[in-house]
Amino acid sequence: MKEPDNLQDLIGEDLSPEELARLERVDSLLRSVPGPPPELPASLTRSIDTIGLERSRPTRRRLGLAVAFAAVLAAAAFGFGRWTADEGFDARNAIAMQATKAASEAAAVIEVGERDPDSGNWGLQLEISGLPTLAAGRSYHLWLAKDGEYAASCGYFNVGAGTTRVVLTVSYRLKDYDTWVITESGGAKDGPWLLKATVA
Amino acid sequence: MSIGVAAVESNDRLIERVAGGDRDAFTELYRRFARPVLAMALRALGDSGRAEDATQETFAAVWRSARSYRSERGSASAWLYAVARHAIIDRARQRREPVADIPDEPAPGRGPEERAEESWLTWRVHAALEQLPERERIVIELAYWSGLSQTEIASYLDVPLGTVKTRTRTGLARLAGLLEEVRQ
Repeated sequence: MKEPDNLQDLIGEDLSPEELARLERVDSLLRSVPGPPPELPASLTRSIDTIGLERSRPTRRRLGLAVAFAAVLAAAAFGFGRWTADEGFDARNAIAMQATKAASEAAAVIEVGERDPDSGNWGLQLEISGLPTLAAGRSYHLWLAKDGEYAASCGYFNVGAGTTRVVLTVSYRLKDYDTWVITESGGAKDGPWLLKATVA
Repeated sequence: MSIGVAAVESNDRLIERVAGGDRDAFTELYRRFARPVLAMALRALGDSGRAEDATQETFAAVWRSARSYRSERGSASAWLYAVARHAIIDRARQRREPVADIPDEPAPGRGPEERAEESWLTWRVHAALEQLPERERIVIELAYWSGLSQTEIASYLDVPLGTVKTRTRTGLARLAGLLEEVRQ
């Protein structure tokens, strides 16, 4: 791998000698150590989420479903930027959802697309697996929540065997919310949270 | 230029809260230290699956053992490093394989003390990186360990080159404060 640019190329040249010396020491430290790993695998984060909640923790390998989603994250390497996903969905970022105890085998990734400058709408692509297929008339519900309360509905869907891909469009400002939530729709009162993720 | 580090709850205090069963504190500790733990495990075990298992075991041990932490005996970071090191060595011993990075046997050219010092230094650098705002951490990781030039980073992140340089400079200044003790 190519060596990093020299320090002045990295930061510009308008520093005082004292500040430059200070940053040179940090620069030297960074060059002396190996880099950290890419973003954490979703499977690891999910397994950590269970610590202290259950008598017997599921091992990483029991969380095999999440491996596919971890691969998605690993492909993103540093977990940011944009890339073109399958079927042409242009995602700005991807968020791995964490399963709750109510759906411990489930896994999902939300890809957030570009915001349409004219309409203000956001495209979302949800890839989900590990939830049971619901009978006709029943559906799952993707929410945006704020402070633990459902705040904005992002749409309803059902799932099939394996991985299901759902494309949704919302017009909300994502920064107004703090959590993505999937529940089973229950009309006026949805069921328990099945998966959740922090709004990036 | 002087960049301050935003006031955040200390690692000491987080471990105390974990000892009391506080899961929010546990989640925050995981956010701060998971990548340094995983990095050390990957270097030592050389296998991502086992490294993840060792990382999981590390945090399970943190949850179980937080009450044993005594701040007067050393820093929280050092305690976490020791917990991680034990978990990784245990994982390696399960297969009777040598640990690649964490010293327990001499290696040609580098003695165990040198390797221990390198491992501890890497841990502290990685832990400090986790305290940076994400926009600064990302450009620094790309600049130092991706092989990309600043221009390529700007293109990759779709931000102006000047923004990449500003974030790099700000992040390095912040790291200088966080790593002050390392350089002394």
